[in-house]
Amino acid sequence: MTPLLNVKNLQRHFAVESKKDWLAGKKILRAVDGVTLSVQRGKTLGLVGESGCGKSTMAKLVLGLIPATGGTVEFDGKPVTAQRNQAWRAARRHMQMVYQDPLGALDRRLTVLEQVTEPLQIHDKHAEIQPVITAQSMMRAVGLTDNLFKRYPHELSGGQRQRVVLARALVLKPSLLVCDEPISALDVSVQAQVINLLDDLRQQMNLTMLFISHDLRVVRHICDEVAVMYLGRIIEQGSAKDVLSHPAHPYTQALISAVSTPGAKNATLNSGRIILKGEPPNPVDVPTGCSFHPRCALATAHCKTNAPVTTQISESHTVSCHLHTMIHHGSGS
Amino acid sequence: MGRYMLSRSLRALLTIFLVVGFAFTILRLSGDPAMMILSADAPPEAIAAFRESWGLDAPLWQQFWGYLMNILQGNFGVSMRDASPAMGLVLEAIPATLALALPAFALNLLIGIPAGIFAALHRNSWMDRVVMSFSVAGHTLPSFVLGLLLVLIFAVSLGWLPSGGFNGVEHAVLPILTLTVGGAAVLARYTRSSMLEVLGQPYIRAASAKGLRWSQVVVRHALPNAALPIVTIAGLMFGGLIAGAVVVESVFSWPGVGRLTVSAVGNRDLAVVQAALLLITVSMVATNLVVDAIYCLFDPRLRANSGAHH
Repeated sequence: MTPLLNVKNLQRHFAVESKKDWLAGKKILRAVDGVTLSVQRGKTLGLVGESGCGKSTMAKLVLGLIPATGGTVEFDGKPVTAQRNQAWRAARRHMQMVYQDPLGALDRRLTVLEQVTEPLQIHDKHAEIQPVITAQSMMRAVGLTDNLFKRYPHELSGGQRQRVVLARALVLKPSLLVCDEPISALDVSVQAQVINLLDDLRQQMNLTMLFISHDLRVVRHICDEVAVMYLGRIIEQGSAKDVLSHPAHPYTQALISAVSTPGAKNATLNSGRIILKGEPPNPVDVPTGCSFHPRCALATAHCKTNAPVTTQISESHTVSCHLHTMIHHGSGS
Repeated sequence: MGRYMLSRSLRALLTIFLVVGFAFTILRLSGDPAMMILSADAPPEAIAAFRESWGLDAPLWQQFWGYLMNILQGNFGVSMRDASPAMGLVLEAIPATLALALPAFALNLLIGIPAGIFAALHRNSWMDRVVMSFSVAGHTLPSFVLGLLLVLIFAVSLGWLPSGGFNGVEHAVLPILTLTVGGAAVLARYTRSSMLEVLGQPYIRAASAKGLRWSQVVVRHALPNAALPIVTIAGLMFGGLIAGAVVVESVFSWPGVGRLTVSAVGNRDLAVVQAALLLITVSMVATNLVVDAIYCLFDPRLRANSGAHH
């Protein structure tokens, strides 16, 4: 079966000017540097990684909101480009996005009903059912009560706003939904509600999702597959169960050990916790060899000079780490 | 909205009172009208008589109290020069001021706002640079320099237009042009920066990602959100134009409120200056009230604050 979303060797580089030394000329920031992934129809792929690793750039690239420097994105067998023409606009109805900051993503001057109606007015000009009626039923489906419809974004709570953003994204019944940190701006008490809602809607509407997050508990809850991103590259990828229960990459292991578990006696004294040294390196000056080696407790001299290749360690689990390449080479010979 | 506008109106009244009081005091402390009107070597008895007849010998607070009472009865005093009613002199100058202010304001809006939008939409392109270069030049050039420059070119060298006076449309062209260049330049800058800020907002990207045509994104989402600061600047500009373009009216000997005020200040013609200041203040404050009302149209958050009552 062809995947709904198929990304091959995707790259996005930004030219950045050095602030300290403007004579030095422009450097290249590799926000996304050769990402390959695919999402089957109806499945959810979680993309995890720390701030600045290129997750949000991935979201924009996948939707064709910004042009790629290299590589391809295919949606439903057709290439996605950032050329804003008729075809690009028409394709919007099939691929929608949920944003990190719901208040910022809503126009403060329009009532929320107007904003949920707008996509229908753009794409469904000749619909039999009035756009407003469709919008209202979508808003009810995301758990908004009728008394909220005529309100302005600032009159709603954070959770209600994110429901509006969700309704606006889903009102056209898209097949792909890209969620860029959809709950990180919400109160913890509301996060679970929104996640459960997202999970329900995903099943009801048979949505395919690219779910970007740094919250591994949420990813475990909602995703079928997980891809771990570090400095613009996917370093580990596989089924959610494999990656989160048997992480192979030292970075993934560190991420997972950082999740505090309710019920654990003392999370901070958890003996298995791996503390990463230092900040993530500047993506403008990516370290040589394996880009994770400066922070990796298991790094060897080999890691400093040679970039690892992606290795299959089980049927649905790949990793880019010399430790595994060596293990496999070792066992192979 | 009602309560919001009520509180704004009360504040406006307070502003008017403060300006009137301030002007009254400063005018009386800054020079003796008797010296100006009668000349400095007039006999002391004549000066004393002048001061007495205009009530200038009374304590300041008594003078102010009397002035306030008179204003409330519609009596704005008479000119110390020729005893004609002060407010009458000012009101006579208003049509001339409006004849410059209204066309200049309309041109400011028609040129400045589209230019700013255009520059913002073509950010950092050569077109943006050209528009912004004109804008910087336009608003750094002082109006008296620009006015004289225009006179030099169009009146002296080319002889197409008169250099000053008040005798019909061709006399108004150069002053209006002078007022337009500066005003449109300022509006273009504010419009551009306001648009750029809004265009960087996530909801603009969201609107575009919904599949809305870019022109529609600009018209439906970007412009209305960018309008608030533009309305503020346009309001201040309008208030300023109504107050009379002091410099431009003087350069072109245009008999408007600005020139009247300048000559009245020079003559220490207290009643006329006070009447002019009162009118200018009221028109400034009124413009600001209109701006506040327009805010409510553009920003639902303001509407909502007062909407909770009904």
